[in-house]
Amino acid sequence: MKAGRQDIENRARELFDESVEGVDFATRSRLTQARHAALAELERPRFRLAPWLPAAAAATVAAIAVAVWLPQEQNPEAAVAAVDDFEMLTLGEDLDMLGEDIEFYAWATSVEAGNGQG
Amino acid sequence: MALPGTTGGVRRARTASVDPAQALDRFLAGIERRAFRIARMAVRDDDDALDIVQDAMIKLARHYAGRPSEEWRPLFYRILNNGIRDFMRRRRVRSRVMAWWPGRANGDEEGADPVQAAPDPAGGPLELLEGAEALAALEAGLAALPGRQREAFVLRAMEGLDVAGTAVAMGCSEGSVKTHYFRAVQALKGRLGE
Repeated sequence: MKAGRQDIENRARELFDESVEGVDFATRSRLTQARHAALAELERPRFRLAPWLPAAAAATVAAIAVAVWLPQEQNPEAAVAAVDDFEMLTLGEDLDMLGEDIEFYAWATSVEAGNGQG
Repeated sequence: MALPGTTGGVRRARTASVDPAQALDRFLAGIERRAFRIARMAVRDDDDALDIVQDAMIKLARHYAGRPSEEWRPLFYRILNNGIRDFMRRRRVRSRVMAWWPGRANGDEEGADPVQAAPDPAGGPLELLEGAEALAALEAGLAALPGRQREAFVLRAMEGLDVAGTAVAMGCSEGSVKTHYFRAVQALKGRLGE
């Protein structure tokens, strides 16, 4: 059994070595080119992505999103004013009323401002 | 610092005195034809085998050139085996897809280069036929083995890696190497005769 196994191994190795020696010149040349291409990798500068870079990019995007959205969320008066403006723009009749009584509203605003200061 | 004369000291001194690019060049030059033959036996195509070997060389240079040169051999064969396995997997998927594609089932044969398919005029005298036939039988026997058994036999018997090196190259335990190798030898004995 041991001898049989040894025979198979020896014969296989022998055949394989012969086939390696028999590799044609065209293939040898292409293998040499492949080796030079591999060795050129040693000269090439490496730009490796740091493992933490994706997490940092995600955190930056999240921070920018928060910076853009948060001021609007934190100022409820501005949000209410924006809603009021939107309602005024969508209701055409109220705009007509503004045109008719513009002097009255200018006076009312100045009185209100005066009360606020006093 | 290792004592002079110890194996570690000698190895480190030798490593320090040799340019890494030269050392890698020498290593690859010594192994490239064997690697090509191994890949060729598995994929049965020269161009595909060359591509696989080149990829393995590039990956070794890119990722492991800085490792001690003693580790290159098992690492290289590990990369090569992975490349062969990936290629075979892609080929199986492709053939499955092409089987569903009407009129393209024999596409590979249509694209075969007649010059490459022609017998090599420098193939050698007739007395080599016996060796060629024996090699063809061995290749057929290896091709019939399951992938892991083929890897174990090629690395152990043909490349002469020890069990530990083969385990690194195959990415498995030494016990698995022994099992795969034993089964490969049994299968080849049954197929090729003793």
